[in-house]
Amino acid sequence: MAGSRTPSVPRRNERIVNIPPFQAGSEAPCDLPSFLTENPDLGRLYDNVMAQVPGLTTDMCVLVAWNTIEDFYQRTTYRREHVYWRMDAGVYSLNFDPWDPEWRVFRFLWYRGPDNVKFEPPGVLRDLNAMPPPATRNGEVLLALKPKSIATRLPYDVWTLWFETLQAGMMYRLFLQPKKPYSDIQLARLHGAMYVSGCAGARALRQANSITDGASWRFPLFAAGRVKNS
Amino acid sequence: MPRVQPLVVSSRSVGTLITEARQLLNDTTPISGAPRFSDDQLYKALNEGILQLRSKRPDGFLFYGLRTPVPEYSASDSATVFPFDDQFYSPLLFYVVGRSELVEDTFSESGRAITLMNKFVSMLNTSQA
Repeated sequence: MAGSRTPSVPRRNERIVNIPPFQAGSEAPCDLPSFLTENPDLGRLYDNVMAQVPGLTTDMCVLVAWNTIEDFYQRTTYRREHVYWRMDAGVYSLNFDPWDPEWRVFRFLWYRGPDNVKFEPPGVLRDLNAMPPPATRNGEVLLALKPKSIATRLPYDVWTLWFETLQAGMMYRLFLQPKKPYSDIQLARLHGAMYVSGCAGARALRQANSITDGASWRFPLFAAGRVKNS
Repeated sequence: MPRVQPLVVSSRSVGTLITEARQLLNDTTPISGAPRFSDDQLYKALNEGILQLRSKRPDGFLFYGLRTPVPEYSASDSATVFPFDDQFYSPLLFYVVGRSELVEDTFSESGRAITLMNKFVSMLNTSQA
């Protein structure tokens, strides 16, 4: 995935003409580095982190990126799927995992249906009413999904809304590593706080069904013990 | 074919860096018919310096590409434009000179070599007030 976004390398002995990378008009657009393209996603994340952390290898960067992305989805339950399920007669379990070739279920968030069922992580719903074979049962379930691997293409809203959070998550994990050129416990704390705060925001947005004005909630005046215009 | 370019393109070339390094090494006029340091040796020192630069200042490689092989130059690349921001020109110059002075010979001065190598590191890493 990283390779497909790798910018072209200048050739030796090739005179570079001083043309700004942001071209307008009829001229052919410059082949921008991945962090400046219109759909930068993972390449932008890599470039931002690698440019800020001296001595960081590409392999470590990819490793930490995947850890962060997986953790982000688990903390925020950012991708949720509401499923209306049906269990036919003679069937005692349903497995929702994997969701598709790119996404996996990692937990149940909400359930409606018959009593006496068991939830087996990550995505199995088992009916414990074994005998006699019950008739068809129906219900609903809300599932939390996470990407299967670093190769899973994440949606645009994750990159545009939560880019800083993912970046902070990577930095926090890198600075926390012992005995590296970039080990820095103070910066790790700072980025860790930014990451956790961002994850909380992402979770809140998802819980609000992605419909909020983005303003932080304030206590009403009466709750703060003040009168209006005081 | 349009391709990646830095926002500010250097007016210097890789060849000018090697020429300046040779001046600092006082190796422009051959003493015994040939310079003390061959072009190949100086370009090898430059390539080492670029590797060090990649490790210490990865931001200098944003437009070149952070996930691409580090560039490597030889004497045939003397006309190639210096591929990084101008601020990295002097540190690399000092590195090439210092690295060359580390060679064990009659004219080498290890004190100067260490000074220049330290200068290279401090210019890259020290924040300037």
